[in-house]
Amino acid sequence: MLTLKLQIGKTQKKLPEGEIIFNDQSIHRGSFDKDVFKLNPVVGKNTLQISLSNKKDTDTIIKGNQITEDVYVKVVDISCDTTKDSVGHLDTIGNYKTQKGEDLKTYGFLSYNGTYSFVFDYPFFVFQRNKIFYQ
Amino acid sequence: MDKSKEKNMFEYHAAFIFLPITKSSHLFTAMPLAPALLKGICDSHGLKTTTIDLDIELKHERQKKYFNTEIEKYLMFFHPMSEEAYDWYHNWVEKTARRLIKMNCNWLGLSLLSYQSLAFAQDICFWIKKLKPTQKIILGGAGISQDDNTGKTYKNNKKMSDIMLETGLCDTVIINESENLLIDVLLQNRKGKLDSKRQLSQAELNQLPTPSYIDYKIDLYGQNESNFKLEKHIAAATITGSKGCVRRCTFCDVFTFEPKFVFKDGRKIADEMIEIYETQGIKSFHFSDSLINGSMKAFRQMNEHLVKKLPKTISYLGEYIARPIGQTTDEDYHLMAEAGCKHVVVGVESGSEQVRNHMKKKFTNNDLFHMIESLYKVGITQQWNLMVGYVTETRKDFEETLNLVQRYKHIKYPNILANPGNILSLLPGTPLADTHARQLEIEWEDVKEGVGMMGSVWKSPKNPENTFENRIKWWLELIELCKENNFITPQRYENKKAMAKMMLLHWNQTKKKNAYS
Repeated sequence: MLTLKLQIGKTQKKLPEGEIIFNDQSIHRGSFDKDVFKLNPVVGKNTLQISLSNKKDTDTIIKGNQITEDVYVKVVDISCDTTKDSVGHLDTIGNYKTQKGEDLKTYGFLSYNGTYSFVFDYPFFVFQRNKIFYQ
Repeated sequence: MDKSKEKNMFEYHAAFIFLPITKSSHLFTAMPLAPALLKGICDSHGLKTTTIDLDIELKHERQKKYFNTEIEKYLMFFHPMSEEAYDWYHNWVEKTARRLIKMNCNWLGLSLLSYQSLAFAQDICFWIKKLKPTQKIILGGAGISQDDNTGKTYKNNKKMSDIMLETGLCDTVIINESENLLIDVLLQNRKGKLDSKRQLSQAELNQLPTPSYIDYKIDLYGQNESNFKLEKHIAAATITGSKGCVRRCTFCDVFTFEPKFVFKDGRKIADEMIEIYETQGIKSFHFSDSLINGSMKAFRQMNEHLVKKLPKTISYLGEYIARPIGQTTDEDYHLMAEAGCKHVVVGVESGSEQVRNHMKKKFTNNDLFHMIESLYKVGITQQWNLMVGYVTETRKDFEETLNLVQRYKHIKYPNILANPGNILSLLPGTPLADTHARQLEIEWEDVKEGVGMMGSVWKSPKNPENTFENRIKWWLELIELCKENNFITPQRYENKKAMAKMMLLHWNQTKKKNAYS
């Protein structure tokens, strides 16, 4: 099994909403009211999609030049329960497309409505030898 | 499910596949034993199986490529490859996985000879399971059993066998000997980790069927490059006369997976060789034994039986132990030659008696000289495995190894071949690593991976001149002397020298880095 660990950004009034789809199966839909999910991977290619759908411009509360509250979802870790390896390289394996069709480069951080798609092979100790990680 | 129903669903009950990578340094390129023996066992139970040697197939394909060494280093040490090598290798693995799946086998049995088969095992399992998740895979052999035998772990404090099972790369792992468990696994589709927790007894060893080599691509073995050629290069069958070892050398890990020395009746060994010759046409044999003369009684019986039943027909080679003078007579040496023994590999290790005594090799210099000269007299060629930088070895001890090479410089290649193997590496599970390392206050140098083999970067305050750097320098000195005396093939000379220089270079770079940090 894999453990997907998220960081949930919420305001006093609002939780982020969206969907988690793993290998074409929905494993969560609605408010992100928990931050840990279990994923059952297959040997070979796996696709994880995390979407944020209810964000509004007014959800980001700024005081001075500081963001004090925000609605967002951040991927903290995707790790293997057996080996405790993390997939890492979220920027290399991930693609974040906003609802407006923009491709954003972040490290697992969804702060606009859109979908972050991660494509990776399992097990991670095989995937980590993939040439995409060569310097 | 009964056998007949299963046969209808699948083309084969199983294919037994020998995995890369091995570095052969023997006279013959031998066809691997494990798949052939497992096929022999299945044949005797009426199961349809076949054998494939992916090691030789990959060797043939990659040796034409300029990035061959990169692939070798990846398979042996997981070193990253260039993009071109990476693409070529993974394309080959994927193609091979497709081919194996297409064979329509209920089980694919992957045989891992050593830890150097692990990278390939992970890659081929990955591709097979990616392409066909329901394909059943079983892993066996010393390569996958090592962690279970030595207590080593791979990741998250788990053994390699458990990681392979839990991540779904395989369905079943058999630890150590699979001969008694195999049929049950194949017919009952048993999954998980299986360990008979015992070595085959002498009686069971004697009851094993003859290995079947008929499905290997025999032509591939004749073309392979070798360090040493006595005659036209030909394919050899691997055969087992014994398991385990009569010695318990301090640096060796055979004891961890074969704790007892058990051997077949000498006539049974000879009969197997004769049967393989008569039914499969193979005339050359390579013994898988830790030593062919572990039991002098069985060894004599085998040679006598071969001389009587099949004179001047077959040839064989194997690892051989130097014994105290008198335990092997002149008659024994003549009998060996007459029976077809062409070449022996001897774990000489050091020219110093003091060093060999600590190793528990149990032979004196006089025993060694007698063996060397006796083998030479009867025309059996010999390879000496030499090791540099044993934990108690001093410069003076090392010079005795140089003296040994000098002493026999009048005997020319190919009669004596030296293999200045490597510097000492402390293997987990050996008496050296488990007991002596504490007594000798062994410490580990602060180096990054890649300097040498794991376990080679040690130091001991009790033997201060035997440093990593000195060991490499002594090794280079020995390699040069072996070349000077024509005891080493050009290919082996270049390989060994390059490896020693690379280790020294990495060592110096690491030292520099440590000095700056």
